[in-house]
Amino acid sequence: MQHIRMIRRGNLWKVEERGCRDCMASCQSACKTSCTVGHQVCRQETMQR
Amino acid sequence: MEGIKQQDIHTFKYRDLQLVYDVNSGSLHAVDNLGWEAVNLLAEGCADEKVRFLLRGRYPADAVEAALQQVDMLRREGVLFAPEPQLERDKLFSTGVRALCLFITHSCNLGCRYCFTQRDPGERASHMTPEVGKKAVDFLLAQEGGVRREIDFFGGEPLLNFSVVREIVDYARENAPLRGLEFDFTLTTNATLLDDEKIDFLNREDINVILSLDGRPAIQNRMRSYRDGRGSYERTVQNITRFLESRGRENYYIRGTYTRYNLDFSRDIEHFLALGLDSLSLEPVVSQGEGYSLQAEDLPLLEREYDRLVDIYLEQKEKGDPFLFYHFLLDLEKGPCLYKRLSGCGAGGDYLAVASDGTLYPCHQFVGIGDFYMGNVTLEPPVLRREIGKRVVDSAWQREACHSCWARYLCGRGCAATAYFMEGALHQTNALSCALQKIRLERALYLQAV
Repeated sequence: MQHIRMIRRGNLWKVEERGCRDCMASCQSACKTSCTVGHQVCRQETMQR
Repeated sequence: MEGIKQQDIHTFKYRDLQLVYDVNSGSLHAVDNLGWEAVNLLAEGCADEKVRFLLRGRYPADAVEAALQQVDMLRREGVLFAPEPQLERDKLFSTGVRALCLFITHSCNLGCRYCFTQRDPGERASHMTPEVGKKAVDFLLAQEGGVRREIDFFGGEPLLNFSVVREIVDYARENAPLRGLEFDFTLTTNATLLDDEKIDFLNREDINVILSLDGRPAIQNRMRSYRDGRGSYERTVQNITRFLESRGRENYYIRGTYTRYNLDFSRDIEHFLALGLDSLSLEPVVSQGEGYSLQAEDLPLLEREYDRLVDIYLEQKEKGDPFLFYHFLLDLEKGPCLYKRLSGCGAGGDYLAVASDGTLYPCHQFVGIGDFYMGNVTLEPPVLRREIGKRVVDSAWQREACHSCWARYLCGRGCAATAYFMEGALHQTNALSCALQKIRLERALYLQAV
């Protein structure tokens, strides 16, 4: 029986080496004035799909 | 397992689910009762043997064994009890500026009560000139790193100085390809001055638009009135509707602010939906002002409002009519890399604000504050005091409370401006902002699981 079911496989490790900074940078463009970073899509990942 | 710290695992129950968020990998798991107990005991530092002992008699031994094996398998995959990432701190401070927020004008036809631009004590010219705007573009083109540059048109109300917006876009589009670069533009507006000419331009140039609207008529008119006191709701909604129809309802965000006057803000989200708006952001007010500032005692009510928002979100999804709510858009699988996540919002590093006279500040909220003056794009050569910006970037690392917080890779480590203006120092955290952030994140994580 499955007692622990993975819902989402996080990507923090996979992309941690990059730091390419090709993602959206500005508050308005990236975060819609909210000043948080969790909601962005990594441009590298988008390109690789 | 060695080295497990509770700060690396966040377990929480929400509605019908028991969830485990693995902080260091960013993975999310759902667990049954046995899984819940086993993970929590392991997170407290218990060895497998102790977990077996503590759960003996309450669960079948083979079930406990299976749960421990599942934990071990996920741990070996690096998605549960993942170790703390080792990062090079130097990489956090990027070498170049990639985005500028341009104060196209410091004037506004509205007099929103919570507007932070009222902090700016500067006596500079209200409107940015085309020359200053072009210098800002040149400054951005000369920066190192990446191929994309961003300009946000901000204010005041940028449409009051629309001809300069147009000149800057034309100039950037003309010059960027010469350096192998591309521009993305965003414009934040109260929408009251949108007309056919401006709409055509914004659509033709594929400019992302953030439209400020707080919600129901009484809410909008109370906080976002014209300077003579007239309400702005009618004109704003009329123009937003026309504008969105013109661009097929793409590339926009409704950006609202809620205050203590509308603690029932889920009603404002419902109002947006009734207007056919489906790309939404509603932010808590962060400035301090008589009557409208949120208080710690409002948290239980606010928590219930976010619960109600979850209901609305799921109902709309069920009906086949989903909407985007910014704070529920959590991308665990394709989010930004850790360096981006840990460098805060980028203010002072790859993102700066330019006042109408060309002076530079770490972000739009610091414009006009002398201690944060970072230089000037109009000087030859332009002056850029990176050390000032670095103070802001570094402050994300200096917030002690963040080091052990489960949300540390999801929240951008808070807002430096909020810390400075609300708490008096960059390295502080604002307890109310953090509490709201965690309330929203738990609900966003739940929505990933249903």
